[in-house]
Amino acid sequence: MLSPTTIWIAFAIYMCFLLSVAFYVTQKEKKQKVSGGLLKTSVAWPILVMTYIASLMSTWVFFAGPGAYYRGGMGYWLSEISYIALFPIIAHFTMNKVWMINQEKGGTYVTPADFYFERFKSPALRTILGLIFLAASFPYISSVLVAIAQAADYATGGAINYQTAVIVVGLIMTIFVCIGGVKSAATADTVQGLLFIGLLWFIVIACLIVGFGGSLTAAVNTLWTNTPAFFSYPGPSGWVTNASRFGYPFACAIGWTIMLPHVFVRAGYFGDNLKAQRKLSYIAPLLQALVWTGTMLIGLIGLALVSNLTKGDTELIIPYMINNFVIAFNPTLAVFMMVAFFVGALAVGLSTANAFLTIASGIVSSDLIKHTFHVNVPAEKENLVNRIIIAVLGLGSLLIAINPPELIFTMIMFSIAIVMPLFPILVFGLYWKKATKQAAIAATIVGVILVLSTYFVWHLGDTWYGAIGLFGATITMVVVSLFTQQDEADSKEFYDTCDRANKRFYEIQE
Amino acid sequence: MRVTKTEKIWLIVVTALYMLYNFPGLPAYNETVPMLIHAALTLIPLWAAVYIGMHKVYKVYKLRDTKNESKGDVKC
Repeated sequence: MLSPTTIWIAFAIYMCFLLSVAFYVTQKEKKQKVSGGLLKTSVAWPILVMTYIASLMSTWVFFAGPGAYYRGGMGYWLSEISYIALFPIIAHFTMNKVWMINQEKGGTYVTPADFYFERFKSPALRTILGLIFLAASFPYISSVLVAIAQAADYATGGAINYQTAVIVVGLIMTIFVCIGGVKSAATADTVQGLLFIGLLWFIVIACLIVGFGGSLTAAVNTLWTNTPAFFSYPGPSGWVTNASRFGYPFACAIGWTIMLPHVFVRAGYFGDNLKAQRKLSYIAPLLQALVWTGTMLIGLIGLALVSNLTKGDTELIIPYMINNFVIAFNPTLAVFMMVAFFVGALAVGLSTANAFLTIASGIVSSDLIKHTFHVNVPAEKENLVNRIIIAVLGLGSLLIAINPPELIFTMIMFSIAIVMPLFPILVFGLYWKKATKQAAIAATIVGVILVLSTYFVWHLGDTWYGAIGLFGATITMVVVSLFTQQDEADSKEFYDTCDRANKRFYEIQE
Repeated sequence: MRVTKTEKIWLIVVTALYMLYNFPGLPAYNETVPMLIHAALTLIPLWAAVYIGMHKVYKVYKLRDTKNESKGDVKC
């Protein structure tokens, strides 16, 4: 379809854009003498909303998502709509409190574990959490590299070697984050987010025109006749059972939209004021629903056009439709759409990978090097050390991506599942004064063991994800807290900070 | 951390609607129209409850003017 030259030119143009954003942000910060460093930032609400959405979407939008709708049908989309709505309420009860406490502490938090340490005052907990959040980062960054390399491979009919694409994309991604850090990633996300949402809907409309003359009704009627299972549970592949209809969205509501480390810091640390946090709660679910609906329509149109794709091929339904239907309709349009698919996948993937890479390096430098091994890096060398860490982590993810599992979906969902047990610890930490650090450590360990068992012992990972680990962590948190004690002075400062933050930011009128 | 009555009501209503959507066995497998009706009866109220509740809770938690004390990166 596309020549390797076309792909590399598209790639080069896109990378020039990213590097110029990094350069612009770095120069601007130098002029303003801002001292946020590579790993911290605070941004106005439009950038907050877009960086949150862009980092959340990941390669899901162009790969795993359409494939999942193809296999799971409309019931799968409905289950996603059920959890997308929950973000404002979860954010209000957790992340907005996290934001306020961080502000009261001078905006000094870098990693999610910083917040947990503030409440439980346990260095051991900080180290364990740092390792878990780090473990969640690698599969996710790798999934992005896998997806982009697959896109390049497929778009060129194999002319661009998969491994070559992984290495080139991985290196450029690492250089971009090394230069610009988190602020440039957030700024680039704003443009990338708008770009991929636009490209996504362009692909939806183009496929609809090519396949069904622009009539969604015709596509739905075809599917209703040929594959009615699309419109009922458990879906065309029998995958959306009652259990997974709960397990999957629950995993997403907690793990994906709150607990993954890169979204945790965005939802909890990045907003420049509480109004920005509230705008995020108002707008994020609506934007997510818009993107998810477009992704679902691609799966719907794809299944209406061809119903016998293998599981792995379903994740490549967009390039499949371009290669098999659009090209006969209009070859120029097909070329344009393939470039749009590649650039869209690149934009959405890199925004997530950059976010993950930044937070992962923060975890290593802050949670591990600084607070676990007590190595004090001089302030003037902090950026250099962070850049070295980013480079090492980027190369590590690159190595995983060279030999990936069959489904990108699997890598993404495992990352989400492994952080789910940390949510009850956050909630109990905020709302229950009797919660102890011993309980937090025990709940973390039990929860992670249960998630690993769900995947590798009971083989229920594709249905329950991290839900069993989350429930196990909840019970452990309560039971161990009741049987252990922690010096009240440890949590007193935390709750005093909460009270001060409430008085500083709110005028409660009830 | 204090939780107001409005927040409690919001939490309870949204949780109930989310549980209603996930009620096991409803709708039956391989039934198309019941799936759509079930979704309309549970998901639309769920979204409405989230946004209406958010609006009401935010009215209770009126924001103080902190414009002069929060200036982004300068604080970091």
